[in-house]
This record gives sequence, C-alpha cells and structure tokens, in this order.
Amino acid sequence: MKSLFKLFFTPYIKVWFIYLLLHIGFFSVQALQPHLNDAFANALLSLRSMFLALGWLIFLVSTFSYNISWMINTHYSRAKLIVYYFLEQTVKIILVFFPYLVIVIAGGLKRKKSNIDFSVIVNNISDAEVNTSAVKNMFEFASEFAWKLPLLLVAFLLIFYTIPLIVSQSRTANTINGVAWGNRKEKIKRGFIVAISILIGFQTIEVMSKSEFISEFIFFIVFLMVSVYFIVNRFNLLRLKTHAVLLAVFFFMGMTYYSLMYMHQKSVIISTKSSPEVRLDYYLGLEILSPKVSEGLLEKFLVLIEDKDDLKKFLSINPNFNFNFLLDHIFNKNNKHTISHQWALLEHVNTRESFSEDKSKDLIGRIIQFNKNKKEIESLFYLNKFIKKYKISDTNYIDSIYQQKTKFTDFVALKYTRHHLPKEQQSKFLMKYKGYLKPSRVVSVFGKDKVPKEYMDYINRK
Amino acid sequence: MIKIQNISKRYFDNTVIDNVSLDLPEGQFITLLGPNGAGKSTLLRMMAGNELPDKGNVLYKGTSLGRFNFPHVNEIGFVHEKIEYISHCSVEKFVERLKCDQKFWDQKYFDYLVDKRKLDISKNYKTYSRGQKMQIALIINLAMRPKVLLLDEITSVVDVYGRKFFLDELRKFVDQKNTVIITTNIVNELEYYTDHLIIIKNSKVQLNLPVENVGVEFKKLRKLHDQRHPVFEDEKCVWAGVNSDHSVSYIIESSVAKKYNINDEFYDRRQSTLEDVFIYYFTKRDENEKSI
Repeated sequence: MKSLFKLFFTPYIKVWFIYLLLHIGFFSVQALQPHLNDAFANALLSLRSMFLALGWLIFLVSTFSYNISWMINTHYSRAKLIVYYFLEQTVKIILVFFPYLVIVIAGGLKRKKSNIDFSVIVNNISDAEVNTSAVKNMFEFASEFAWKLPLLLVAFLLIFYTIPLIVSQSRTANTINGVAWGNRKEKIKRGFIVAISILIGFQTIEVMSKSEFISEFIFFIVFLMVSVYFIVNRFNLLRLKTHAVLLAVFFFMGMTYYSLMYMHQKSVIISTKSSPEVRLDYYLGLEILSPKVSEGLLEKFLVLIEDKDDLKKFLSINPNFNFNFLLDHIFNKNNKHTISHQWALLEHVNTRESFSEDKSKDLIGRIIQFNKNKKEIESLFYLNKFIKKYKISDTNYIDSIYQQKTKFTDFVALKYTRHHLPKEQQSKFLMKYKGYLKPSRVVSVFGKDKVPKEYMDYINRK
Repeated sequence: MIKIQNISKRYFDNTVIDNVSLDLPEGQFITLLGPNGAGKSTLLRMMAGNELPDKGNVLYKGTSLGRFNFPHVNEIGFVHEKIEYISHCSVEKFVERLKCDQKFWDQKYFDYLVDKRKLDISKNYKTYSRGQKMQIALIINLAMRPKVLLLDEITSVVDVYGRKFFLDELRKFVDQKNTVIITTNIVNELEYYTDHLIIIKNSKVQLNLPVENVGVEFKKLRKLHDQRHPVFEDEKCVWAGVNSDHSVSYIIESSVAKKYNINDEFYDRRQSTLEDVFIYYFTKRDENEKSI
C-alpha cells in the first residue's frame, strides 16, 4: 500500500499544488473584481468555472488505473488495490473541492463576525433555519427526482454499459470482435441493441435539454459511470453479469452525492451589498428568490432583465408578485423594454390571476392607454387571449371604447362585442357605428358566418 | 504449483479457452505454443489473475488467483507484450517506490541486470524504445524474485543479444527451482531452454508433455526427391522443411509411424525439434501438399 501511495499519489499532489495555486489566483481576482475591468474579471472568472470541470478530470485521469494490469496478484492483491483506489479517490475529491470548502468556511466565519445583513437563499427558508433544515431539504430535493431514476438507470445502463461492453470490453475482445461481427445473427442482435441505445440516447438528450439540473446530473453520472466502468473493466474484478449491479449501486450513490452538491450550491449566501446585477445573476442561476428582496429591488430586477427566457424564469421563481406592482411596471412609459417583454409579463398575470370585472376593466384600460397612439398593433395574439379570458359585459364600458375611435380601440371593442355580448347587442353596436367602422375589420374579427344578419344586409346593400 | 481446473473463457460468441485443465510442474521452463489467437495470452492472463475465467478455476498453491485477498502476491511475475509502467518519474525512482512493498526484492540483482544491459534508468519509462521497455519490465520482474514468471511474447521485441542474455538468466532462474511459463512465436530459440511443452489449438490443449518425450512421441522422416513410400501420403505425415542435401523432412506421431513398415533409411537421425512439433500441429493438409 505504501508503494501505491508513493507511486501514484505523490505525483498527483504535485499537480494538485499547481491547481491550488491557480485557484488562489482566481479567488484573488474575484476579491479584486470591483476594482477590475469587468470584461477582464469576467474572462478570468469564466476560466475558473471551466477549471472546476478540469478539477474533476484531475481526479478521474489516474495513472493508477493504467497500471492495474501488471499489479494484480503480481505486486498487490485485488483487495489492496480496491482499498487504495477508494482511499485515493476520496482524498482526491476532497482535494479538488478543497479551495471551495475554504471559501465556504471562510464565508461562514466572516458572516458570523460581521453585522452585514445577508439574504440567505435556501428554498425560501429564513436565516435561522438554514443549519437545521439543509439535510432535510436535500432529501426532499432528492425525492423530487426519485421517479426519474428507473428511467435514467435503464438509459445509462444501456448507453454506458451495453455499448462499451460491445465495443471495447477488452483488448482481446476487440481482436475477436471482428469474428463475432461476421456472424449474421449476432450482427442483427447487436444492431438492435445499438439502435435501441441510440433511441434512448436521443430521449435522454431531450430530457437533458429540458432541465439544467438533469443535464448537469447526467454529465456528472457520465463521468462517474465511465470512470467506474473503466476501473471495473481494468480490475477485471467481477464477471460481466455483476457489472450492472455494481453500476446501479454507483448510480444511486452518485445521485445522493450530486443532490448534496446541488443543495450546497443552493446554500450560497448573497450579500445585500452586492450590486443588483450580481444578485439578479445569482438568483437566476440558483432559480430561487430570497423572501427578503424588497419591491424596489424587484422593480430594479424587472428593468434589468432583458432576455425573455430570463424574465419567465424570474417570474416562475417569484410567483407572488403584487398585481398592481406588475401592471405599474408593465405600463410604465419609461420602461424601455420591447412589447413582447411586456406581453410576457401580462401572460404571467394571465396564468396567475383571476380578475373581477373591475380589475379586467383596469387592465384593458391600461392596455388601450399604452397602445392607442401606436401606428402598428403589436402582439394581437396575446391580446386575443386576454380578451377571451377577462369578461366585460358592461355595454357602457364597451361603448366608451368604441368612442375612442382609434385602430387599436376599434379592434378591442369589436373583440369584446364578438366574444362577450349577445347577438342583439352585437347588432346594436355595429349598426350604431356603421358609418365609422370598416366592414373589412368587422368581418375579420367576427368571421364571415358570425357577422350579425342586420349588419351583413347593410354591407350588402352598400 | 499452478493448477488449471476446467477453465473456459468466451468473448461474446467466441470461445477462446474451452474446458482446459492443466497441472503445471514446478521448477520447469514451460513453453506454451499456439498460433495467433489460439488463447495463449488469455490463458497467461488467467494464470496471472489478470483475467477471471467464465467457468472453472486457476489455483496457485491451492488458492484461487481470483481471490480478493490473494496471499501469494510477489510470488508471480507477469510480463506481457503490451506492458506499460505509466509513471511521472524516472525508472530509478519508480523502482525505489515500488520496491518498498516487495517482499523478495533483490536490489543487487537489479543493479547487476541493469549494468549488464547497459540501461540508463535515470530517464522516464516512456522515453525508452519498445525493446528497452521490455528489458526494464523483465529486469523488474526478475529482481522481484518471484516463484513463477509468466512471459507473454517478450522475445519478439528484444534484440538478439538481449534475448540470449535474458533466456540465460531465465534458465538460471529455473535452476533455482522456480517456474517460467513463456509464450513465443520464435520457437527455435527456446529449444535449448524448454523443459516442458504445451500446445494449444482450437481453444484446447493439444499437447502437454516434458520436452524429453518429444523425441519419443514424434518421429522425423526424410526422403529424397525420387523416393516413394505410402507413409508420405498419410495426412498425419507433415512436411517439416528442406535439408541442405535437398532431401525433405517430415514429422509424424510415433504411433502413426508404427502402422507403416518404414525402413531405417527414411528415419532422420536428428531428434524432432519444438519447431517440428509446432509445424506438425499448425500446418494445414492443403499447405502440406503444396509444399511437397
């Protein structure tokens, strides 16, 4: 065992020191960030993020595994090699994350000593609950994904167990593979397995594309499974049928470990002294919003968000926006956002709120106010949905919309007439404004078959 | 010492080793012969415990080589064609680190072998040529002072002087009551050193006998161009080369030869060699006819 550490761990430590030095450099840059040129600091910090991925590689790429074939039984028993391997891997994982552990501990100590008000982001629980609830939250989080495990397990066993088994079981297998592929039956069987694997692979990619967590999780498992498979294959420890069981065990271990890491990531502490831009980035990255964020700051965030997807994400993590607050933001004339940005907000309101008629009138009033002087009517698709959902049967109110006599108000009034008034009322309004309303506009809103008979006769006579 | 009990190994549909049983004698230089892909290397890997059989068991001193806590580590050395000591340090340092867990490490012998082969061990292993790498691997395994040394196709990459040197060292190693099991394609070089011969063909052991019995089990015949005899028409009488007097040599099993009334003039006085036996097992009948 002593020689194993000397042979394979000592060289690793040298590489790790370089890794540590680079991290110290990166953390120094982070500390100096407010005084640095943003582009430069960001470039360096992005490099550090990439470095975290490289850190994983440092512990996965091990000269030890390459040397196993000559070590089994000739120099060491299997048991010793396995014990060494697991000790080595554990220490390496700790060493890879050491710089981050230091930062977390240092951050905790700093927080204890300082009087700065911090917002703590752990699933919306308050500051005092952080320590006691972290583990509980981790398990809740893990159970949230529990149903996906069998599916993922099958996918991974096929992709990362069956295919490597077919393609590269061992060097000897490779040479003999050529003969095996000559067998037609075998060829069909393998072709079928590969086709199914590719199909499941695509399904997995589709699932990955839908969730950031799943994709991160899958990448983590890919690393884990490939490394485990590689080691097991090298060790030649078990007969082939038992590999699957071993990999399944590692899969569940990986799941728990990743959940822990994810929860750790979610426990990041965000200082209220940070700029709104930095805090917004954190909240969007973590997909959790602190309950301590003030309305003023929310307004700032809403102004800062430019990307529509970011906006949707932001709204989804804070579903309890105050209705009037949102409407004020949407229809603020100083708001420089695009119309689609505003409609995205309205759509959010649409899905969350159920309005009284008065609220609906208020909302429509604001929409009209905002759009009436615009030459082009934008986002009619969204407007249709709103008009259909928010019922207004007050004919006086609809009449007041007709009387505003703009292209946009005509459109809104006709829509309300069409969707929320009985036939005789529809006819009454159309005949009242027959000299003003363009027949083509009426037909386009009502549809040829639905235009009231009296108005249709008027058009035909004309 | 090494006992192989009904082992089988398959890679998908291909049976590489099929129900093989062997009881390998101690203190012998054992040569394992077979064509490419016959399963020699797989058998050696299983003897080293590198690979586990699908069925059966390989025992060393009564203990399975697949056991997790194999008690006889350091007693088996294994050098194979693709051996790689991947390390970030010089060979000298590598050995220094490796030897602290070696029960029988012989530093003097290591230094002697390095000195004799004039190898500069201050360089990293990856900087050496293939032949030098093989020599270093051999030296390390010899200096480990194992009881059994498994050698898989090692002679093909070492130069002729190196081969002679190491084969002599291996002979000395065997004379100290140790065992060498070697596979090779350069058969004639092992003629002088081999004590025991094993031939593998079609995933099975075809021949397993002490080398002194080869002359008893196989007879060598020779015939001149104009000579005729029915024995040469027998498909078990295999062409074994052309001699300097333009006569043609044949190899045949003694039991088959007994069936024919063969005059002394057809018997070759020279004893059958390992190469002759190798040819006997691996020459196809159609090739034999062509050669004639």
